[in-house]
Amino acid sequence: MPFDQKRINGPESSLLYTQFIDNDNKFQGKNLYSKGKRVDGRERQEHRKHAFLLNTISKAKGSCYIENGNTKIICAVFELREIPRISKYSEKGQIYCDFKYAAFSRRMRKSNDENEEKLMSTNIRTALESTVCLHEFPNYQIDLYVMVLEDDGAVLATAINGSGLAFIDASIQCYGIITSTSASIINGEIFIDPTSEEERLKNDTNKSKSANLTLSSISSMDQIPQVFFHGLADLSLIKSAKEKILDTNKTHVLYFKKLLSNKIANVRA
Amino acid sequence: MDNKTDPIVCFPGDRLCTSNENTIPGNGTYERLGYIYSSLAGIVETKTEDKNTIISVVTSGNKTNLPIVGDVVTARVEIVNQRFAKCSVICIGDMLLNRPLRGILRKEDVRATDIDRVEMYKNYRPNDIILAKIIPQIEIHTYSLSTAENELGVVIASARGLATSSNTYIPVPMVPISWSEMQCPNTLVKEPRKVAKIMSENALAKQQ
Repeated sequence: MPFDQKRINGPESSLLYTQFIDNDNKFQGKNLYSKGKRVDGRERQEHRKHAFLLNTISKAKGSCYIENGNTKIICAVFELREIPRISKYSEKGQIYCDFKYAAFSRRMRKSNDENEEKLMSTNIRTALESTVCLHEFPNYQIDLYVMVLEDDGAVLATAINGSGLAFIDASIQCYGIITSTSASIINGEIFIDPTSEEERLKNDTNKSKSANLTLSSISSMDQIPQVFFHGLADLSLIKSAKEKILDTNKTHVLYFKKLLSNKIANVRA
Repeated sequence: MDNKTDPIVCFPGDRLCTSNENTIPGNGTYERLGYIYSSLAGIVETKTEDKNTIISVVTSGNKTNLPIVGDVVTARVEIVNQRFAKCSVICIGDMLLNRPLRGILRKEDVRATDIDRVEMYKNYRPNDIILAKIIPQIEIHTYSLSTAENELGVVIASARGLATSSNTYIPVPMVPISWSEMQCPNTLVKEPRKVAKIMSENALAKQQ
């Protein structure tokens, strides 16, 4: 057992109890389904309720507060800044993404998980580099700050949704509205928009194949700017998960447009 | 044009119309595979000139604007040197910028004639507000400016002004007395500047 100075430890030769759990009905000791639906009452393909608010940060050029079930993320876009430390003329602008988990956002209250934060910010940047018209501001960069207030699964997908909306709120030219959805492939089934419980299931043992797929798409152009896949899964399952995610993304675009139109209407009035 | 019909609201990625020789994608739009798409969330505006229609999308404020070559900008002179004057661009046309941009006005670009014998200090002083035109960039983050026209040059310059009781000076705007001199109204001191020929808006409108 790992030695924890602040607690009373058992004998040194003791083992974690999870190794002895029976894996038949439950998936690694956790209920995947109850009464044919997922633990929180959803269908396999059902997405959680989500909503967003624009212009929540007055000092930012554009901002978006987005909630997806219990996942809460805030994204803010700031004014153009000269790209520091370049010597050659760059024909395209750049996006600088700073992604942070709040210390209280996850189950384990860690203040710093630099590697994962860097990975997330790279993914968000890749997604947005194909959405934003970078040729409109050569030699300049746009700062995007993303902070996760609560992590209950599908963080990358929600962050990309929020960032895309923050750019639109900032009146920065974009090729289209980018939407993103996450899916977990566990036990041969596809679960759209997993909660953090469902996401974490794949991390425990190597016995069954499980995986996590986050895919963003610009539905109006039928383009996929970003994919993030982690785990093991059958190719056929990955393909059908991709199709389901693309459909979900398309329906979300309509919902986003409806809320965006409120913003335009308010401003005109 | 579309005053009587409802305004068309559009979002990034919305297809606006087909593109042919007579349609021009304006601000806030882009052209792709034979169609014109919107790239902003706002209201569509069409303007017809001769046979061409310019389609653009207008949002409310918050616009990101960078000057292009040929724009007339308002700048404040920060540092004056023998070779150049460093300025900070505060407006593009009549639109105020959120953050000032860096500009540089070189000795050769101050006026159109006799450019070898220009003395920077006799044309501009720190804290002058000038109108200048953007010329092609030489350095990366600095816009090159030129005042080589009659309508460009110093618009507002301040003289040191009257002393107040607490040992400070209230700056007083100077009055132009010729195309190369300005005078303080209180002390009657003349200072050399390259003065801009500001045309009144009525005169400009009549010209057009």
